[in-house]
Amino acid sequence: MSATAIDVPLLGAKWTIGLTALLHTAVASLSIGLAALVTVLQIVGYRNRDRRYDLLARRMQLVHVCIYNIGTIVAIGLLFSLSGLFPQFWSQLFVHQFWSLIVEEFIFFLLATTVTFHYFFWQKMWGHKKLHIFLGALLTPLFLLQFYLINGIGGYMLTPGYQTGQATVGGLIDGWDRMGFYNPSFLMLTAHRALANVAYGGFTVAAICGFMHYFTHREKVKKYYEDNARCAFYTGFLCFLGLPIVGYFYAHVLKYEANEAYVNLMWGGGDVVALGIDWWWLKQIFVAGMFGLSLGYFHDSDRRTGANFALPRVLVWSLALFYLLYYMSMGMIMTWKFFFAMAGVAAAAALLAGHLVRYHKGSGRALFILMGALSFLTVMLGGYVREAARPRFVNRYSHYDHVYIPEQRQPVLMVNKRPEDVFTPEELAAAKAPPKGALIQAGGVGQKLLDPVALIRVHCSGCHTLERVKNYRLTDRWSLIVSQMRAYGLKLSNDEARLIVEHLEAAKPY
Amino acid sequence: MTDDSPQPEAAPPPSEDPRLETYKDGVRTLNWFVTPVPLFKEEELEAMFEPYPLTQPADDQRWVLWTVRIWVGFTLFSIAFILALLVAGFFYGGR
Repeated sequence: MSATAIDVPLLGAKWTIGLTALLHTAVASLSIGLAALVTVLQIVGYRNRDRRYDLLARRMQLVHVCIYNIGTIVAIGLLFSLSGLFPQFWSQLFVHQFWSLIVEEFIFFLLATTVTFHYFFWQKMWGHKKLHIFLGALLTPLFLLQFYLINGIGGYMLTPGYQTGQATVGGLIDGWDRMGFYNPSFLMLTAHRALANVAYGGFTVAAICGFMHYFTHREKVKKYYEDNARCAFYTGFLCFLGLPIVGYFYAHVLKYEANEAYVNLMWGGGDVVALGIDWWWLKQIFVAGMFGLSLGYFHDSDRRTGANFALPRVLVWSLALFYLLYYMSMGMIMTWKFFFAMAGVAAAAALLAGHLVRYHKGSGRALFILMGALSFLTVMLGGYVREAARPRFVNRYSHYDHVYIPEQRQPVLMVNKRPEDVFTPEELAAAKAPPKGALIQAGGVGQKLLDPVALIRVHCSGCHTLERVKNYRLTDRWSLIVSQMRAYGLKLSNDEARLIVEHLEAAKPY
Repeated sequence: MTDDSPQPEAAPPPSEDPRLETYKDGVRTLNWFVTPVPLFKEEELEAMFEPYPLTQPADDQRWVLWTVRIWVGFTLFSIAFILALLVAGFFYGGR
């Protein structure tokens, strides 16, 4: 290669970005969740004329002010690192989504000022509590807008999704790409992050209350922490419930619009598997454990009278049944062995929840701390695998050149070099070649798969597990079987069907 | 017969906020310079559980209220403007 690139000692470029981004995820996600939680606690306090909820809300808002600053500073560090370590990628993305990022910056200003006013005027406007609550409630839509914009860019990084030549630099408005922003995974990413952040905030506040509960001796103060923790836990759980459902449809979008990422996630490819551990499926086990703990907790607390923020027992069992059926449909993707392992973890977690509450004489403090820790781990793992599943850069040459036309892009970039000036012809060819097992053309619906492994994984697992294919004994009848599947509605071209049959008949791995 | 032994000083009601000074001529005032540390002192935290609300509307300072009102107005306008941009961008931006 004729150009040099900055490198970071020990960590390397990739892990510098990865670790900074993970730190940002841990803090910024919590910031968004706390904003919503503070409003919930304030409203509960106002409706019940109970200052205990308002007191905790104020303390959490102080935490929020602190971590908001940390999150912003880490975000700036991330941008600095990207600019130096991946200049071609970052300048390309910044030019592409210039106006989105400028509006994003303006929303940061609105957020910082609003949270400052809200916290520091807390004691000064008790007589106008509704106005004060409304001021704090503005933080949540502002945060939603803020990550609505950043999701347009984040979603684009995973699912550019459209055909070569459709980028709109030089289009109607420079710095705004409608099709790139409203990309295929944008909606699911936004919905998933919105719910996940509030759930994370709720479980974290509950964990903080549970932790403080251990160091309390006065009954009234214990009840203060217990009631606030229940309120936060309840809010977090309601958001947590929707996550697997949104996640399912998110995966469905990836299956068709970011096939390589989907295959990496579901079958453990790319950086999703590191240190011999499949971090994606480990996250699913944590989620199953969290679900079991929550349902076990609500089942147990419903038996005690006078508990605020409880779910009726019939609802708890209905939810358990619904999610069992739901995960059974997920069994189409995971192996059945793994499905039973997850169900086992959920059941064991539900039993553990009952034990913890009984051991602490009705207090959920230990469970709240455990849920907070699991929530943190799932947020971290979710953020990690989402980025790790993406196709890797080759020599830091952007993957998105499958979508961009370099000749169009170069005149508006400050980097006065064409890719041909920087890379050898072999490197350029390698960077532009579709990854093995992925789509032959970048783009959306209507793409063609020519790799039989990818064909089998995508099409067969649409209706049943791959184990079913592997366990099938009449291996000389694959042609008949594939014909039957097409008769059931599987959409395959004749070429694709031939490729699948040949691969299966040769007993090659997939 | 009178009792000359010193009387214990009347303790403030436990429900009272430590920052809440006595009613002076029927006006409730707050001492803004006393900041309790409820994180580590349970007694103080417990004393803050009541009352709600802490002060009445007339106690709030006008400059605070007008700052907040103006800011809320500006923020609402900004949100509406950004939403309008996003909607317009969906229909008109790019190809």
